[in-house]
Amino acid sequence: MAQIVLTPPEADHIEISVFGPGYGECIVIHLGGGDWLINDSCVDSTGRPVALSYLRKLGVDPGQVKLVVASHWHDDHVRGLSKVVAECTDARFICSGALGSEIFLQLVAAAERDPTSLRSGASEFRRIITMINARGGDSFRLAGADQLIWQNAVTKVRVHALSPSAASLTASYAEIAKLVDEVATNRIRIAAHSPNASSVVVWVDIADTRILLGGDLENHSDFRRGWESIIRSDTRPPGRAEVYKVAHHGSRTAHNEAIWSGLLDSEVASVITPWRRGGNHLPDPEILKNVIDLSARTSITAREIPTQMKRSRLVTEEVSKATRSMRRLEAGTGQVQLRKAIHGDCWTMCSTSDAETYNRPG
Amino acid sequence: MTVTENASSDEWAIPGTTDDTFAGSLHRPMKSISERGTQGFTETYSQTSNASTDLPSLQRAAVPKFIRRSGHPRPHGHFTAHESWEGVVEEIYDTYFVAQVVSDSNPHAPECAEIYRSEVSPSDQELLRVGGVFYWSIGYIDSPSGQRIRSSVIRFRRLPSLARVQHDPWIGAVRGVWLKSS
Repeated sequence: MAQIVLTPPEADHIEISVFGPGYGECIVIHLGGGDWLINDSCVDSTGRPVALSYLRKLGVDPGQVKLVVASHWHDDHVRGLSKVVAECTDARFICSGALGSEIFLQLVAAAERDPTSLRSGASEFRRIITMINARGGDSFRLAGADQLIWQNAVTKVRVHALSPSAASLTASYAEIAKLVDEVATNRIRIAAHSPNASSVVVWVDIADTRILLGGDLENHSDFRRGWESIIRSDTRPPGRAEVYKVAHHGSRTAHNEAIWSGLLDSEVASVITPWRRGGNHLPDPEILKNVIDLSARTSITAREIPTQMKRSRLVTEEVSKATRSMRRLEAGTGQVQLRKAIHGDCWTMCSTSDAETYNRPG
Repeated sequence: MTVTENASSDEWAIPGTTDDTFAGSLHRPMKSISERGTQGFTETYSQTSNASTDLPSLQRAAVPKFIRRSGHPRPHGHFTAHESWEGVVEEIYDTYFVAQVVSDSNPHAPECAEIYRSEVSPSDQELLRVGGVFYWSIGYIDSPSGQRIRSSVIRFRRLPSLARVQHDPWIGAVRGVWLKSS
């Protein structure tokens, strides 16, 4: 596959770059007319957000970013997001309405009292909230289902949030309250363990070219929550998406064939960001096969390449004795880039060497 | 800890062995995150009270507990850490746990480690839970008898309970803007 193009897209071209090095993900979209959107954040080996590094390579001023979206507050989606918000001074910040509660502020405040150097989503959010507060209330929105979160009438761009649903919002307040109690009583680091039913799913419509960013939204036994709430909605924006960032790294719990039958074009290009830490690696092989069958083209942003840090012989030997395995979380770049003219039909797909692409069989 | 040593002049043993009369721990002096260097470090440790290791201001306890046997002089241990990590437990299985760890020498390159549960001392097993924070050091212990022992040591953090933050001034400052959009 062709290498990543590092010249900025023309004003009348769309670009979608999906980054997923194996832990974390970030999507950067040129909406046309020099406006950009950043959805979630992950960092490179220097700790810098990949979105900012990439825009710099393209020669794009962060001031051109109009919208920064945090799909949810799990660590793998918000690493470096406060730096993104800090540099994208003209951008509106969007996050899940589930976080717009007093109890979430209490959780974030508690994160500041935790002296660990291991950064968490809560501590990223503290920095973001502080910045948002200084800029004033017009610079951010709490997202809920089927809300218009940004538009440009000149370039005919409309960006909607498709989730979280009202039922998910109600449930998530209780989940966060439970998490505060858990942290207080068990002396653990603040981390999000709750299901991903309050993640923001983003629908981008650029002059009738539509893009669906699935965040980490999963299915839920209650049809008013998760993917079923979107599929059954009669107030969501119409149309079918040509590009889909597959939800929750291609997990079994997020897969729903009604997404393809109800929201996606039959020739959709699907992009999966893998999850490789611990015992559960994603995408699930069976789900990957389904996605390949359902999509015209499917890409995974990074193959599984175990990487180990260079260490002294003593440390290497002792690590080997103490562990089953140990490897870097962010080992590569893991980027898939799609471009097309706004009124064109044909997407051009490029990727870094660690990505994999599959065409629909037959 | 991989080796138990009984030397002639200053005798040491792992806690829970025999005729223990004094339980203490060797730990390096506290350094804040910003003070830590980018390379490995060498420090000399001295006996302190056991309780102090549980304070949040002493986060980087890096060597195992030793027991001084009665009638022997105060110890002087020497631990040379070649690499140290801070970690947080993410998943727990029968024989190992999965953790995100960050090395002192490369704080921008987090790693995922599957660490055997047998590496955690019996006294810290109850702290092994999802979200638990620990400190892991690999290096040498030069014993008082002159023996050098390779050591991989994991100590879990004992945080005081984080009570709900009801009156944090930061919440008061941001509440108006943040909750306005709810």
